[in-house]
Order: sequence, then structure tokens, then C-alpha cells
Amino acid sequence: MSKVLDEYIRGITTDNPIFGLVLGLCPLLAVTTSVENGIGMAAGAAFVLICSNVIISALRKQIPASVRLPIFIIIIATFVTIVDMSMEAFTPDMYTQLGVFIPLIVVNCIIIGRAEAYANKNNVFYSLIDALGSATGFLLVLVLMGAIREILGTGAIAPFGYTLITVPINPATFMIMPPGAFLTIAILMAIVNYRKAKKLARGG
Amino acid sequence: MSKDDSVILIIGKMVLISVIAAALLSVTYGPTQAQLKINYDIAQKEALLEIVPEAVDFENVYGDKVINEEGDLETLYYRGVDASGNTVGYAFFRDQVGSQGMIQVAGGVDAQFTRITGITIMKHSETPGLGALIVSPDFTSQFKDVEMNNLMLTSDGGKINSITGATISSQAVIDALRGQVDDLKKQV
Amino acid sequence: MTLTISAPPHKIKGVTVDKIMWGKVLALVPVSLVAIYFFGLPALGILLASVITAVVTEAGIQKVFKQKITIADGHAVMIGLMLALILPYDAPIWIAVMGSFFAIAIVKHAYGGIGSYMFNPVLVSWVFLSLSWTTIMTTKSTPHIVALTDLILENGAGILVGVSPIALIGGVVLILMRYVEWRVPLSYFVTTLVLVFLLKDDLSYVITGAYLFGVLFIATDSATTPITKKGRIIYGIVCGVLTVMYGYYASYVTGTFYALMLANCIAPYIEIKTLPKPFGGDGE
Repeated sequence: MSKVLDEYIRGITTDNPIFGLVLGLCPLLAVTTSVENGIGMAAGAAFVLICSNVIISALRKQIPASVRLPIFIIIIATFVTIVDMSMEAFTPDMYTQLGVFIPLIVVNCIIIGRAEAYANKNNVFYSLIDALGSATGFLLVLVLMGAIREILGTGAIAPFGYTLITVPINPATFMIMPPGAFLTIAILMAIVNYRKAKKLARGG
Repeated sequence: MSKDDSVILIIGKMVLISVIAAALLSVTYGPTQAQLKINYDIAQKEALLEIVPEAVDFENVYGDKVINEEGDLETLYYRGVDASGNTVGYAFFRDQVGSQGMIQVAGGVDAQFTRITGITIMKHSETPGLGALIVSPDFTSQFKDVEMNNLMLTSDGGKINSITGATISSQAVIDALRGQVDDLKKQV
Repeated sequence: MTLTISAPPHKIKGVTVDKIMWGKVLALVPVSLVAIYFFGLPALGILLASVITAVVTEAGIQKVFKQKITIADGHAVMIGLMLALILPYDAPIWIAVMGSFFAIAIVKHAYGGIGSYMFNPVLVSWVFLSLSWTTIMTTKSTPHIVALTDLILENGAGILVGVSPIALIGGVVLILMRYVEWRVPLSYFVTTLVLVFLLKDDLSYVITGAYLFGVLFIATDSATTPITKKGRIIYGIVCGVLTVMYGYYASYVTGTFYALMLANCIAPYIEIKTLPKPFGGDGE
């Protein structure tokens, strides 16, 4: 049981797609103008990640080593297209917001990375846990970034029409513009690395 | 992972996976296309109310052309009626060649064909930042209640300010409206 | 006779970082005074808020990260003062506080402190404020120097430094005293004049307080200019071209700041390209 939990937690902490592996920065920077978009993007990526991890893991003994990457891409692209079509039909507003970043999940390094590094070598159950962990880690960072930028940039957090927090500040539009994304990720990354370095220095 | 797969086996496996992938996609395609059509109809209805603000309801006016397998007839235009059933204007959708692809313009005209009551752009594939600005309210609001004889770019003596660097797209919207109003005069 | 054996530089001029920074601060005092005289208490409020925030932020950050506290070198004071001078006179106090904090905490210290930052903190902070609070940062009037008296006291100034171009003379004094490099401001100024003349633009919109401030104080910031002599001349030309490009199509006030920030981006590249080649080597 504890191994299952460890594998899950690993995707959020040490192997966190953003802070641990520094993968998937492009969608992170582009779509985190609000919590809502962050959740939408993470949900799409999570669906693809979980499905492709499970399928690839199930087929891992059948996939010829020499053509494994094309096959991974076919599997991933299929799920991405499903997400793309479904979001266009059922959540058209979010689809307009996320735009090209939905089809671009195909080339999201997190997914191919987990497929190649984990699902290809482990059984279906652990691949599922691994995908869930990475997806949760990705979701948390997207929501965190979205929350910071939305609250500083618009003065409120209002996902899906529910206003959660309002702060009485004069919002800094800068934060929901592209430079705000770079600034936020840089500061978050600096904090994470500072803590890592401190932990190392203590011999942890 | 097996190492000694023969070429035929590798190709076979790839084909098999591709076939399954294609099957999955076609399963998704049906329901999403249906939903997209519903979304489009809703958007169309909203657009109609926006472009002929005086109308409360619309009647489809059909032509003779059959457009799909179910035998539906082509909708030529929509007649906007007010609460007491009088015709207050006509609304229409028109595809026009823009600078990059087709632009679908929704437009409304009053019952006497003297002025445009409003427009909105339904679909387009113009250049982002240039032609794509035809969807911006700054551009579309210029068409509200503009007289037919002023429906030209300012450079041609009309009242519509062209989008900087996107004269073709701006002109296409105007051409769509002028062309369709001329057609309407014959059809009504 | 005693021979001193030491590593270069051998000629000691007595010019130190502290002296340059405080020199710049001193050179900016006249224009600050004119601004206070002209705009009254709000200007004093902006200046004080900005400088105090800068110093407090610097001391706070260095305390938290257990570094040597360097507020005495005058750099924080200079940043705070320079930022306040390019704010609109009717900006609220919190804009000055915000901008000053951003300049010191993010642009200066997060990039490694004095000498290490890539972009001039004053400029980045100004861009940050302009993008975030556009309505506040948009100046209410554009300076237009038509008469000689406008050089002494400009009524149309939108930002503090615009009040009196002549009061920036301190910058020239610094150059004459060799506290500040002459190549960048000179090539910057000449390029601008030549281009403005070629484009037949109206010079009376160019020689504003904001532009002269850019030439004499911002462009000469040593951390963001190339170290080579040739590089500095090229850097000045780049600044001039960019300023005229922005100024010709928009405004010479904001154009100066955006142009200088863009020039900051390519300063390291100019530096690498103009480093002297070692004898016999193939350079780079």
C-alpha cells in the first residue's frame, strides 16, 4: 500500500512535471491567465495522460521497441483528438480560451515523458497511479499559477462563474499578460529551488 | 518488449493500432458534430436577435434547394417579426471570400431595405491581429443603423472605417452585406 | 624608490561606485526641486515614497538573505529617485511604492544585485507600471519645447522629470568629471539628431526632459551598457535608432523608455561581438 502512495506522491513532489522535471512549461505559461483555464488545461492533459499511460502500459509487451515512439504518438494523438473534439463541442467557451494549446497536448513532454520513462516499463496499475500523480502535480501548479495571476491581475478568483475571493486592490493587468506568466513561474521556481538547496545543505 | 519482431509483424501491429485509433475517433466524431450543430444553432439564434434588435421572433423562409439527406430545404433568410406579427426586418447569413478564407457574416436589414440594423461575424479565418479584428465590437458596431447608401468604406465615401492593414477583410464584410441585400430585394 | 607591484588598474582615479551613485543622485536634485516647486506637494510625496521604499526594500532583502547591507552606496536611493522622476505628477503614492519595490526586489535583487541585473530596474519597473495601470500611467499632457523658456520651465510636462530640461545639466557635469562614460550619451544624442533631421520630424517634441534624462542618466547605467569602447558607441547608436523609431510613430517620452529597455536586451550581444580579439586568435 505504501508503495502505491509513494508512487502517487512522487508525481506531486520530486517528479512534479513543472518544478521537478521542468516539462510542459509552454501550456503552463500560456493558459494560466485564470484558475478556470488552468483547471481546463489540466483536465484535458490529465485525461490524455491517464488514458495513454494505461494503454501503453497494457500494450508494452506487444509494442516493437524499434517503432515504439510512433506508436506512442498515435495513441497520444488519438486521445488528444478526442479531447479536442469533445471540448469544442461541450465546452466551447473554454475551447476558445485554450485555443491551440489543446491540440498541442500531443507534443506535451509530460505525456510522452511518462510513457517512455514509466508506462513502458511498469504494469498497468502502477502506470495508472503514476499518471494520476503526475496529473495531480500538473493540476496543482496550473491552479496555483492561475490563482496568483488571476488575483493580482483581476483582483478576484472567479472560476466557472463562482466568485471565490475578491481583494480590494487596483489590479495589475501586467500579471495576466505574458510577461506576468514568466515573472510568476520564475519566482515560484526560485522559491522551490531555494528550499531544495537548503534541504541539500542540511544534508537531507 | 520483444526485440525480434519481423518487419511484417511490426507493420501489422502499427496498422492495427492505427485502425483502432481511427475507430475511436469516428465514435467520438458523431456525437461531437451533433453537439457542434446545436451550439451553432444557439449561436445563430443569439446572433439573429442581436442583428435585428426590434424583432422578437424569426421565421425561416425556405428556398427550393435541398441541402442535406433528410430533405431539409435551404434557408434563404429569416423574417424578423415584432410582438404583433409585423415584419420589422430581415436577417441573413452570407459566406463571402475574405483575404484568407470564407467569412460568414450575419446581417440584419430593416423591412424597407434602407438601413443595416446590425451585423456579427459568425466564422472567419482571417489573419490574427489584422483581418481577425473584423469580429471586434469596434468594427462591427459601425454597421449598426447605417444607411444603405453609406454602406461603403470611408475611402470610397461611405461611413465604415476600414481596419488598418486589413482593407480586403473589411471590404469583404461590406460586399457580403451589399450582395445579400440586393439578393433579398429580389427574393422577398 | 619603491615600485608598487599590483594587478591592473594601475591608475587610481578615486572614482568609486559610491561616488558615481551619489554623484548621479546629486545631479538629479535640481530637477527634483523644480518638480516640487512646479507640481507642489504631490511631487514631493512621490519622490519621498519612492526613495524611502527603495531603501527599505533593499535593506529588508539584504537582511533576510543575510547579505551585507549596501544602502550606503546610494544605488537604491538613485533607483528610487530616478523612478519617481519618470512617474506622472498626478500618480498616487502607492504607484511610486509599488514601482520602487518592484524595481529593487525583482529587477535588481532577483537578478543578482548591483552589476548583475540585465535590465535597468527603473525602466522595467516603469514598463511594469505602464502595462498594469495604463490609465494612471498615461500622462495628461505632452511636453512641447517651443521657446527657450520651455527649456527652463516646461508647462506641458506630464512626468516629473519633464519640468525643466535645463536642470538636467548635472548629467553633463558628471560626464565632464569622467564619472560617467561619454561615448554612449554622445553617440545616442547624435544618432537621434541625425535621424530626426533626416525624417524631418519636429525637434521641439524630441528635446524633452524625458529624452535628455534617458540620454544622460538611464543609457549611461554601467551595468546595462557594453564594457568595450566600440560597443558603447554601437549601443548609443542602437538606442538612438530605437528611440526615433518609437518616437516618430508614437511619443518621444514613452518611446525613449521602451527603446532603452530594448537596447538593454542586446547590450550583452554587442559586448561579445566587440570584445578585442587576442593577437593571433580568431576571435569570439
